[in-house]
Amino acid sequence: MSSISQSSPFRTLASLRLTVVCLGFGMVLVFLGTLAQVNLGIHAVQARYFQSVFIFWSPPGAHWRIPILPGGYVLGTVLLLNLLAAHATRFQFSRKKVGIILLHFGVILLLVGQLLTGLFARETQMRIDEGQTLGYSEAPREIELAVIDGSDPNFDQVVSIPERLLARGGTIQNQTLPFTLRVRQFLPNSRLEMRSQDQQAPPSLATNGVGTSIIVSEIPRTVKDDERDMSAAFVEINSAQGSLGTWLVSNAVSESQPFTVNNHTYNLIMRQRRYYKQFALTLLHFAHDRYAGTDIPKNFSSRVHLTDLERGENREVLISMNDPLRYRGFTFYQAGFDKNDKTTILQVVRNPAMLLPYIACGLVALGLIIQFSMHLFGFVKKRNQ
Amino acid sequence: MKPTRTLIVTWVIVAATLAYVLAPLFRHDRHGGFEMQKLGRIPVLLNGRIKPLDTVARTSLLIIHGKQTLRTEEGSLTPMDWLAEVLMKSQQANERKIFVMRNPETLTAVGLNAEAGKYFSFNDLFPHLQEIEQQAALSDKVDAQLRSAFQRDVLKLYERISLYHRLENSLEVAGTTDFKSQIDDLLKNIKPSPVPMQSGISSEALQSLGFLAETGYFFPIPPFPPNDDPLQWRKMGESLLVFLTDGKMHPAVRSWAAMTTAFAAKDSVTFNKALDDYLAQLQRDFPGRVWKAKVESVFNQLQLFYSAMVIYVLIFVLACGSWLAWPQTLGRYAFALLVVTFLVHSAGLVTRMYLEGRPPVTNLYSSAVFIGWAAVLLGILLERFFRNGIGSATAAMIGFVTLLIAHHLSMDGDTMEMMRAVLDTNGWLATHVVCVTLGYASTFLAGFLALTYIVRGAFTPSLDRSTAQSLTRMVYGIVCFATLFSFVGTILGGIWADQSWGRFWGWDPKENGALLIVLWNAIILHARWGGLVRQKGLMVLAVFGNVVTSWSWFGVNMLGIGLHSYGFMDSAFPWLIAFGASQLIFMLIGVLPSSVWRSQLEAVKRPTATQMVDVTA
Amino acid sequence: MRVRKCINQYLWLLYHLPFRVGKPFFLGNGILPQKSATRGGGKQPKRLFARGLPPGCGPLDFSWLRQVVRSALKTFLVFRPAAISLLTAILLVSAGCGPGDDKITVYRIPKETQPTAPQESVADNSGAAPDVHWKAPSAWEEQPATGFRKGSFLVRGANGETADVSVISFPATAGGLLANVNRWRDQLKLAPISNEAEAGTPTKVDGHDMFFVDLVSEQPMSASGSKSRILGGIFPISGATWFFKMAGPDELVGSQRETFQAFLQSVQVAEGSAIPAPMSANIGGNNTNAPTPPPLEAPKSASLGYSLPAGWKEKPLSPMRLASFSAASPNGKEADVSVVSLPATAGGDLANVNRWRGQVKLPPIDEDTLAKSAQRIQANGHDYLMVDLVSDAPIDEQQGKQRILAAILDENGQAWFIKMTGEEATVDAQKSAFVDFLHGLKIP
Repeated sequence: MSSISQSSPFRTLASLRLTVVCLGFGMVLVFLGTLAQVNLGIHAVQARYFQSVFIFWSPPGAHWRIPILPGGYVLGTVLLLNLLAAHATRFQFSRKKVGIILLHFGVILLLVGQLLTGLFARETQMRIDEGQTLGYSEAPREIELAVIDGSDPNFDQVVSIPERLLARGGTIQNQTLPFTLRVRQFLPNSRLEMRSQDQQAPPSLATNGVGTSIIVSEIPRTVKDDERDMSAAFVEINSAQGSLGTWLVSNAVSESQPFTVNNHTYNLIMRQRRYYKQFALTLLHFAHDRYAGTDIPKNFSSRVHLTDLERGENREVLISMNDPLRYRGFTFYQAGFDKNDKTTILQVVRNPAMLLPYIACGLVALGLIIQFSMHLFGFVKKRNQ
Repeated sequence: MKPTRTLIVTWVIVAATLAYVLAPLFRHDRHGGFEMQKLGRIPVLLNGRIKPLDTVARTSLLIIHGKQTLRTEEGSLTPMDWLAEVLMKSQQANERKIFVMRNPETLTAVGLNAEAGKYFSFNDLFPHLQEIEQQAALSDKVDAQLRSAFQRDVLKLYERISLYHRLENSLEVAGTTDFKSQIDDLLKNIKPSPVPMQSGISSEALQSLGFLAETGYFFPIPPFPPNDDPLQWRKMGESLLVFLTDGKMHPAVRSWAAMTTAFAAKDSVTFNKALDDYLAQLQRDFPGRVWKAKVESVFNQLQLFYSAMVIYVLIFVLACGSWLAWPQTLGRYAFALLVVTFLVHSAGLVTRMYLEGRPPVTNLYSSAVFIGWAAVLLGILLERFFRNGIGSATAAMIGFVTLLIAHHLSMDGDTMEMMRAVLDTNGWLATHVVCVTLGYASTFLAGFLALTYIVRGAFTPSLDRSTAQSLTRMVYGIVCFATLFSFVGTILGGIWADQSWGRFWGWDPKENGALLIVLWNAIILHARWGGLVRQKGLMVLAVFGNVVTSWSWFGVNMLGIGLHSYGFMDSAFPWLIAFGASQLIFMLIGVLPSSVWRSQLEAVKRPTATQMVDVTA
Repeated sequence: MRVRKCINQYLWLLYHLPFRVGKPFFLGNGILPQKSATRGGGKQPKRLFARGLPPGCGPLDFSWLRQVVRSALKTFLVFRPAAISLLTAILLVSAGCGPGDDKITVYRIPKETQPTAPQESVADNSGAAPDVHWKAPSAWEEQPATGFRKGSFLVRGANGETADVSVISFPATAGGLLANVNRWRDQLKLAPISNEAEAGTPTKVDGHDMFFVDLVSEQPMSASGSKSRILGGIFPISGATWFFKMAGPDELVGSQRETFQAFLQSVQVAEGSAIPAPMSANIGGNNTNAPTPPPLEAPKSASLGYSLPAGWKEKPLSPMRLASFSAASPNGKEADVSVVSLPATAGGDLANVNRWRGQVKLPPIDEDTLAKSAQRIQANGHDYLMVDLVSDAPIDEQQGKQRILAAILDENGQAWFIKMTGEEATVDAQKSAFVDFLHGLKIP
């Protein structure tokens, strides 16, 4: 153990200089990431600066790019290694160092927690109109292609194909479906126009459904937070009898498009990715309280009815700002409203690493207080001597 | 003999300061025989908060005129004098030159003569109103960040005119001279009916009531006691419209009508009597509200923060003087003055907390005041320990600068606004916000202490070894304090965010700014511990902390993005750049080798000779 | 030892890199480390220019670049294993992502109705107040919005016929649905009704309730003998009631029915917004909630055309007046002249005349007496009802008898009141000027 901790690479990894350099790069990263938000939405900035390996720069107009700075993942990893190495080499357990050890351990926990959150947490939304019951939440930035078999009188069987599979293209098959889907083209963001507006447009890839009368052109993905991509895909259905045709699916097209295979009718629809829950929420009333004579919001709250047949829950809950509903691993926050206070928007978060920041903060705060109190008392004692 | 004399002089200074601070209380305002001060104490509802009319007057005058007093040929008018004219005698108020127009482009676009001066009256602007409205409508369509200076100016002008127009029509339709008889007429001739139009009122009058109800700015009519709900306060027009349906005229309407008519007729006796009666009635119905309104109007009058700001300059001069001559005496005076001013500053802060019912920091203005307060407190503690005038000087400097910033921020309107939903939890406001603001304050203090080191070291020979060492200890200690509070505060912010919408860290610009401060303080400490910097290096790094903190406090608000954006604050932006540049210059001076400095600061390794402070330098 | 020397040299060069651009005198002053191994000295240079640098390190010498590259290579070679594993870890992390996100999922859900359309508008941060917008057809001429009118349009038809479209908002329930419909019925001289169901058709626009009304007068209302018609839409919207009304000759309004209904359908109340998130300190601004100012009174002389008789001066407008003058007479006394326009109100001419009679302390009269006593005067193509009222006794000591000279015009569902008030003698002297004014008055 000691030989490893004494060896030079390890010492470098544990050195304070590396810490200072990393922190310096971290500051540059955070500053650039802040400035970038003037033009890009927060999600684009996060992806580009903080959840990346390198930050690239390309001269205007060029297609190539060079890495100029380490990205969030690299810095985080190096900092983590630096901390771990420091713990192994320099932090001996002594009463005097308790504060330092605690607080650095807390920082480790914080970094690890944020990494886990980035990898495993899922944030979705539920938009519920007054009186509506909703049993699923939607991912605001991810689409799915759903193939719905409605032949059973009581149930729908949904096969959900996530965006990434569509982006890869090729043939998609699933054992529950007697046909395969071939993604002929996938456009992450597109503009759809009616064919009647432009007679000269090239013929559509679609042979069935609404796609025959729509022109689709690809546009770059949106970077603003308040815009959504209009994804589109041309999907060909191939059954044992051969190709049934090519459909255009898009989340801008709200109706599902039916087709029949083996006397079963299936519906094809592209929509925001849904995550169905074992329970449902019904919006009873959304309250938007304002301060007297103003429009400043005083309070937002949604009174919802929670129905869970599996667990036998059947009760009313009030979700308001700073007071979310925690149920079955999900947390429901009051996030927004729409349609003149008639629709509530709830943010649904599932984060297994949720508690880590709290523990980390407690440790760091404790460590800091211990360390600095020791300094302070030592200083005061010396002064008084 | 000497200690006693110092003591006496100290007490005299304290007494003089208190007298200066409390002086505004003794100015009794009886403009033209009318009890304006009492009028200012009437509580009304505006923007969700019940406040005295005096606050409405001050903030409206600030917005429209840019100043807190109005100079006229007859002398200067206080805000309440001016508001009384606007509310009750609008013909005269329309003549007052109050609208400030500085942008020459606006003047030409609107059709006014640029040589006519900077201030225009409502009558001057009225013929050009259509043009102003059109220009404002055009400017409004442009995205806020992309507007030119002219467009911003014309929009501001339109807002000011709108505010004025609404104020004019808050108590009575502008231009009415005899509101009282109109009210009496209503009382006599109206038969209340659920359908207002069938109550016997002429349609012209009904429409003017609707107009009053819509255009009025504040809500002067309280609910019928014992109902005390702020949501039930009414505008004059609304109250009269309701009267048409249920026949119950609120006595406040009659009181206001009597006052406005008496004021328009220059009848101070009737006016004062109606005012006294109304106040007595309010006292019976809502004693709590009347008391709070009184406290607030007294607070407005005292202008505690302004007085403190002025005294801080004096303290700074005294403290700097103590470095040149009579260190003990001047130092003691400076310290005594500092403590008194700190108490004044605290009194202001506590009063604000009482009036708002919230922890000390709720918006940008209160953060400026709190930063000054915290820095002064820390400075007092430093001075207590080290007794070398540095604590006093730095505290005074920061106190002055922050209160000056606060003074400019107060120009935008009411500084005690209601907190929007999700921000209005006192628990988080008291912990997270206060911690982060303490982090700001201490980083600034460390930065200014370092500035003292650099300035005294490079430009004067007065930085001897002991001063340098005590400064180093001070800076180091304050940086530790800053690290603790800024880190804890940032983390608490993350926890608040996690509780509110499930995301601990969202990379919002303000969050990033706070993170930058934490990282920078951490860098300073790690660099120190790793031996990467020594004394001067520590000072230079601490000065950069000023740049980082000012970016985090103001810079992120100017980006126009994120959840804290206030758009480009025109006048503040160049100041921010200037401040940053000045700090960088000081850093460069700090980086120069010690041989170039005026003070003989040797490296620690060399054997030191004892130094005497060279007073003749 | 050798490794440490490499690293130190590398780091030393890294620190110095930024200063290389011509300001070497920042070195050696207590900020940077004084490791003797690399510096070959450790003495603090006293001069402003570089002394203690490794040889050949002047600004234009690129041997330092070679050294950097060499150190980097050496470092990498020594740390090969560690570097490779770190790089692999980085690549893995960046390539992979959320576990299991690429799989097809199959599930069963209870039957649900056709999924609702995805909401296109994502909430933004505006947080606007309930703000009402509409889209008027291009054929309608937009008029300046006065006083209470939030919107005003003029529709032109054949033969110079015009219909007036107005958008007005009243606070609260403004009397209720039935009362307002009856008010309109009264304007068309129709009998009031008591059953709401007969009053009109409740519909919905953009999720809001709207009450649609279509009324035709039974008798001819205008000079040309045609009946009048009113189309109306009443919207209760958060705390106020909005009235969208088209009034005019029956044929013209009838032909505009579809257009008007489309206009009503285009009414939108602005969407809500995402609640702003607070984050850390210094939340909120100083003036984040300035209330939206209502539209101001702009002088209407642009739309109201007139020529001022001699001695008449314009006065600042009050909210009700479209034009306001003072007419001075030789004896120095002034008479006040006003032009007011209102939607044709309940009560009609008689009520207003009686109101004025009340103002000069005269007893009210009935319809017949009015018909007999009032004059009609044609001026500039309009048909005015003129009344001349003198008080019986002086109003007070300073002034003599009070006199009101007024002309009322009812046209296209709009009522115009041109009134001169003042002392008897003054008004008398100005009477001819008043009539001249009427002749020169152009009603928009």
